Order: sequence, then structure tokens, then C-alpha cells
Amino acid sequence: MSKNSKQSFFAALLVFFSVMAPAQDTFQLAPPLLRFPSIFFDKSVQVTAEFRQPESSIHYTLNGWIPTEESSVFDKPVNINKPVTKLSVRTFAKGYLPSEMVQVNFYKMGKKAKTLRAPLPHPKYLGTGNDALQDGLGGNTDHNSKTWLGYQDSVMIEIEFGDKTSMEQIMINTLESQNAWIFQPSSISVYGWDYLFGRWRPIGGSRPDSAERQPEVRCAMQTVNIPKPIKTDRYRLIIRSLQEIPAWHPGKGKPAWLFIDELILH
Amino acid sequence: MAGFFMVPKLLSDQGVVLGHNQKKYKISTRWSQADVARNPVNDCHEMVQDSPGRILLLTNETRNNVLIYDKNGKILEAWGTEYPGAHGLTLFNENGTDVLFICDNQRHQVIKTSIDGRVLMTLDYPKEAEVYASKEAYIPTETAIAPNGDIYVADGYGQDYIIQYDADGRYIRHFGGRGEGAEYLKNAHGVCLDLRNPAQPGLIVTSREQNAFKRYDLEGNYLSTIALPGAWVCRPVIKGDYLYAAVLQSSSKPWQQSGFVTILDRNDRVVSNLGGSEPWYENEVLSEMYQTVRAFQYPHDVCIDDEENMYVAQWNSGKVYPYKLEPVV
Repeated sequence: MSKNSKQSFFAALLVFFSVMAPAQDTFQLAPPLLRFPSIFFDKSVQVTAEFRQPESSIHYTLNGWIPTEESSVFDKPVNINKPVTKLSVRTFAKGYLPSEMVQVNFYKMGKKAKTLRAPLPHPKYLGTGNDALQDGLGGNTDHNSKTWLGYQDSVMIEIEFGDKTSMEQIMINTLESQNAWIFQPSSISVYGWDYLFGRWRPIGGSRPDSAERQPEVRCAMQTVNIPKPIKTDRYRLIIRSLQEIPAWHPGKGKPAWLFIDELILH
Repeated sequence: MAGFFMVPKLLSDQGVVLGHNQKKYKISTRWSQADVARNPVNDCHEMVQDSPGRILLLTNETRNNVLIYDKNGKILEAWGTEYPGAHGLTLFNENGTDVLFICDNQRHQVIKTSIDGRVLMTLDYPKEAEVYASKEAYIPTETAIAPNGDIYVADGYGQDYIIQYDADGRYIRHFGGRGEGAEYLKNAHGVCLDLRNPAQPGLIVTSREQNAFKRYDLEGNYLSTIALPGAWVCRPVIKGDYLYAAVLQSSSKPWQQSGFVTILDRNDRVVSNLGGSEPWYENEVLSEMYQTVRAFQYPHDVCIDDEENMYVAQWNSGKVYPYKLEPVV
């Protein structure tokens, strides 16, 4: 055997053994257990993270960046008080792939409406009653949780402030859980009552990409900015549910569910 | 040359270790040597070991509802084409002969067979219990056989009753069912005999959506609840001093492949979670459990063999064959 062929023989042997050797399973960590009273808060909210896996660590960011092992360690409660904060969390441990990233958005509550009229939700998803859309509760991804109001049709909400207010932004927390036939709304329109002309005036709207495939179960905050606010005490909100589930989904052509749990008025 | 031969041995010693305390295991996801073209599986629902030591798997793939493996993962035999809803598999040694009880949740029946698949008895829906309007309301998921031959059937996807029959299939009584109160069940997915204390033989029944096991005596009187917060436990499996159970998913992450395996000692204390959080008791109360390592997707049953190895069958997990886990000493 020449030197060359000897080398290639050993190389082949190496390849042979790396193929024959039982390849090792490499597993990914799961994300940690996050605990917080609600994603909506008045002054501040405290978030705790738990992950009982030996020799692991939890890392987080508050600026939307993907957490790495260099990011802050989540070993004590994190206090959140900014108007909008995106908390991103991942777990790490030697010998495992880092977990997927979990992101939770936290929102400071806005102005409370004096009265808020919404249609009665589906009997299965009644939420906690009248106050559900401004009770500061919600933001979990379990559609059976009592914080969600579930509708099988579009929803019109009438908002009355006690005084004339220039509303600049409306945020509506919706659920996206496509396996459960729950989709983001197809469009949102905001109207303000124009006392001068005695009619509803369209002042803002948005068109979420509700038909796009989203395997994750998540909260989707719908933010509608009002470019030219008007001073009025009555607002109307029309949230249109997705009328036809897209073709890639088993529920193709049927109406989607619309789940909402909180309105934030700025 | 010897150096080269050392390579595979060394590598094989470095597998991922799952679990805690005295119950740690090395996992192999490539145990099954089944050829997918010859012996396909769909949901792998349950596994048992027979008296000669073979490992039996029940799947709802009607090309072969029962796959019989040796402990090295080689297929020895396969049978069964008539169990579209094959879900529960229990082995009972009847006067020295192994027999099987299959729960079929599409046929709404429990079928007793010989070890090679010959039908010995079929139990239809229990009209005598007078709680079922039709056979469709009865969706059995599991059986347990008492030493005297009495058959307990868990109607885990139907009305959550446990139906007790004698060895010949004559209805004796039913208990459990749904309701408000500790004695009731929600998703009575599994049942087993607990003979660890010979003075007090009893039953352990799964109440999966309540994240709990419940103890009853052999006459169906409720005794106590073993709370397992966060864990969608499937059937209890007792081997030696320990109780093992696949946890289909974590309550904190429902329907997102968040399963693991839990192990309780004979004092009903969780000692280990394979792919799950380290068991934690605060003032003697078990804290919520959850998946920490994505080793399993939706584990549905475990089987512990005569050498303490564990096999894990999974539901809705991409038609994966069972995994084998060997204890680490």
C-alpha cells in the first residue's frame, strides 16, 4: 500500500466510523415559564421567569433583539414600566440548542372610556362581561381563558368619553391561533362623531395581514394611528373578522373566529 | 487500529441524559429498526412487554396495528388490520398465557385477543350501565385487569366512566364520570392496578385535563387525588416501586409539542421528569411542571421492560417510531 492509498484508507475508515457510530441526538431546550398578572398595566408590571433545568440560564432583552448568552440574565423579576415594551426570552444550557425565542409585548393602559358598547360575544367565549375590554386583563395565548371575547362575525364597538378628547391611537389586542380557526381581523376602521356635520367621520384604519400563515399561537396587537385627530367624545370602531379562511387551511372558505381582550385608547 | 474501534464506543457513551435524582436515562431516538415501507406507523399509542420479553407497540395504522419488537428494536412480527382506532393496549397473564386487551375508540369496543391477534372476546358499549344513549357516546381508551380477571375499562374520550366487568365480560358496575367534586374525572385517559401495597390493592385512574391521577378501591370508591400540576398525564404504568407516565403536553404550552415523561415514587412523589422541569415541592405541594427539553413531542405511553429500560410511544408526532431510554446508574 502506498503512502497515499494508506491515507485514503484511513480517511475512508474514519468516514465509515463516523457514519456507523450512533449519531447523537441533539435536543433543543424549551422556553421558560413566564409569569405576569397581565400584559396591560397601569404604572408598572413585574415579570418572573422560571426554568427548572439543571445548569441552564435564562437570558432576555427589552429592545426586541434576539437574546444571546451575552444578554442580561433573567434571575430576578424584571420590572416593566414603559408604554410599550417587547420582552424577548430564551434559555441556554451546555449540550443543548438554545430554546426558541419567546416574545411578550407589554402595554401601559390608556384613557378609559366612560361607556363602551360591544356586541355580545359567542356564548362559549363570553369573557368576564361588560368590562372585559378595559379591565387591564389579558394577553395570554389560551383561547379558553376567560379574558377573551370570541366572535364569529365582525364587531362594532361604540366608545364614549365623558369629555371631548383627541384620540391619537387605538390599540386592540387580538389572538392569532390559526389551528383553532382564530385569525387576526381583516380590517379595522375608526370613526369619530363629527358634531359640525352630524355624521361619523372616518379618521383611521388598518389592514392586518390576517390570511398569512402563522404557525405560532400569539397575541397580535392591532395598532391604529389616527393621523388627523378630531376633538369629540364619541368614537366608533369596526373590527372586521376574516370572512373566508384561506385555501391553505383546513377551514378553507369558512368564516374565521375573531378574539379580542383589551382596548387601549391614547 | 484499535484506536479507531474505540470511536463508536466513546461516542455512544455521550448521549443526552434526561431526568432527575435516582431516575436518569440516556435516550436513543433511533431504537426502532422497522422499515417504514413494510411496517408503517401512524399514532404510536401504547406499548407493553410480553412474558418472553418482546416489546409490543399498538398503532392506529391498519396495515399493522401491532408491531412486535425485540429489545434491540428489530421487528419480529406484525399483525392486526381491523383496529382503526387502536388506542389502549394492556397485557394480562391469564393462568400462564399472555392475552391482550385493545381499546378501539373508533369501533367503540374493547377487544381481547391472544398474543398473536386471535380475537377471544369483544366488549361492546355497556348498555347495562344505563348511562349511554348510543355506542358512539362510549369511547374507550384504556383497560386494566385485576388479578381475579376483572376488567376495568376507562371511557376516556366518552363520558369518563370506569366500567368494571368480570373476567367473562359481564358488567359489574361503573363509577367516575364527570361532575363537580374530587371523585369525578375529566378525560379518564388511563387506568391501572396498583398492587404495590398488597394489603391495599387499588386502582389509579387518569384525569388528564385535571392534570391528576385519582385513586379508587377495586369497588370504585374514590380515595384520593395525586395532583400533577401542569402535566397532561396519560396512563399510569407501575413497575417495581415506581409509577411512570407519559405527559402528552404541558398546560403552560398547550398543543405545541410540549410533552415529557414523569416518574413518581411509591409515596406518589414526583422524583424525575424526563425532558421536563426538575420536580419542586414547596411546603409539600408540587409546583407546576413543564417541558424543559424538546426530546418528545406528544408522548402517549411508556413501557418499562424487565431490564428497567423505557420505551416511549408518541401520538401525532410525525409518525415517529418509539424511542428507547436506558437507565444511567
